[in-house]
Amino acid sequence: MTDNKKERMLDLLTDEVLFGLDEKERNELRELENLFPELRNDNSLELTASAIGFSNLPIEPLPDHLEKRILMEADNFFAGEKAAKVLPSETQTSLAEVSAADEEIQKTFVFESKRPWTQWLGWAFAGLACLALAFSMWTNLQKPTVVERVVEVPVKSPSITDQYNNLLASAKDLQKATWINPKNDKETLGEVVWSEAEQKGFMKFKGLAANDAAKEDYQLWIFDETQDEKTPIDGGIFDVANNGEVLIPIDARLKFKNPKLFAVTKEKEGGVVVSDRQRLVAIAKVSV
Amino acid sequence: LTKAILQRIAEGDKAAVQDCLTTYGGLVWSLARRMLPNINEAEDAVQEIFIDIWKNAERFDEKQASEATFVAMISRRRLIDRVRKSQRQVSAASLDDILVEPSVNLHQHMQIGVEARQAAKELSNLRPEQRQVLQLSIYQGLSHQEISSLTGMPVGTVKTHARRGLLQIRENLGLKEVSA
Repeated sequence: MTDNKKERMLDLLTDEVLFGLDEKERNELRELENLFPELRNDNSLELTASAIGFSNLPIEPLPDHLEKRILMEADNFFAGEKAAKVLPSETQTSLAEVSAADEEIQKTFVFESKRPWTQWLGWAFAGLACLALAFSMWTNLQKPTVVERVVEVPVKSPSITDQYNNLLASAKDLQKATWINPKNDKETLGEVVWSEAEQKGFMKFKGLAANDAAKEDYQLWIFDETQDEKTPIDGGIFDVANNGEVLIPIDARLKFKNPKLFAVTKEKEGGVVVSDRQRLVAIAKVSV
Repeated sequence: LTKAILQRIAEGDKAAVQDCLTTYGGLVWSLARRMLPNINEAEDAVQEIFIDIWKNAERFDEKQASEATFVAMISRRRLIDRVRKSQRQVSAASLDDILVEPSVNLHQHMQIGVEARQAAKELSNLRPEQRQVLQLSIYQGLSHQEISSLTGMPVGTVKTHARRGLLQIRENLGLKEVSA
């Protein structure tokens, strides 16, 4: 009997990796996971499918323009990610600490666009230095500081708080909705603000329980008119370090249009593609 | 020993992001191009995938799988999500384009993943119908119903071939159980 159930669980795990599961199958898998917890987090089947996936893949180079876009994205991502992870709860203090964290990140992650470019820059500076020297000799002046000034190019990305304030100040189509506890609609948990035109938004929470980041993540879902209710847009995962106020940027995977509802679920670490919605922790209905 | 790129990213090494793009940019881009015919969609997907890779970098364990396989796994999750949401249709005429012999260009393209090289070999050792179903599912993200329509096999048979084929390859690859 146990062997049959284990075999059935393997079937479901395989189907999940290759085809996805429907609601009934997901429920069945959840029940079987209780019997075989050792298989719950096994992703060896997914790794196998992935290895097969590029086993016969003719590799095309990544286009240059896309590489540049991703490098720019990296700068923003690492600044935002670090700040979000560090976000503590007390309002004024936390915002100051976020800015400080961003400053730190900006020092750590000032991404060079490409090595060949920086190599070229070196030669350019050398050329500039030669020109400056020749000019100085010709005019009998000695002012080599020009080259030094060229090197000092500060790179600064706005902090999450700055980005939030900028959105509030600049977005002409800014919308807001209030987070409530789905089990008690009188309990408010914060608000979500967004701009469809800018495809940006932020979630503010107060009183959301801290998660164990090693085991689980919070995940945002956006229900809008572009997607079926069964497959809302993944709005990104995030952690809450303390019980208190946090400010999280929305990280929507797809372009959203006329959101009707925002929902936050607690999921396994790393998030999920489709939520079973068993652990719904906050919802924000958009008033029409 | 040289540290894995993903480990360096997790530690905040700024040069590792460029190294990641140089090493795996082509892999991720090629996976996206194969599964998403629209070039703009593929570009958006690749951007999202690299963010996912950075987010998950600390979860990579080189004792469990190669870095390339881990990157391919993160890529696959995102691409399948997009394919399923787009509800695209695949015509029977494209079947020949999808199904290619696993040994083609093997040497040329197999420099980045130990498991991939072995997976290609194991795939070629499967029964033809098992191989066909796995290729349609994994290369194109087709559902069992779509594979059934394309091949004429009953849905149950499609699932059986897919399960047996995948489990056999996993066993032969000796991939360890990991959580991510």
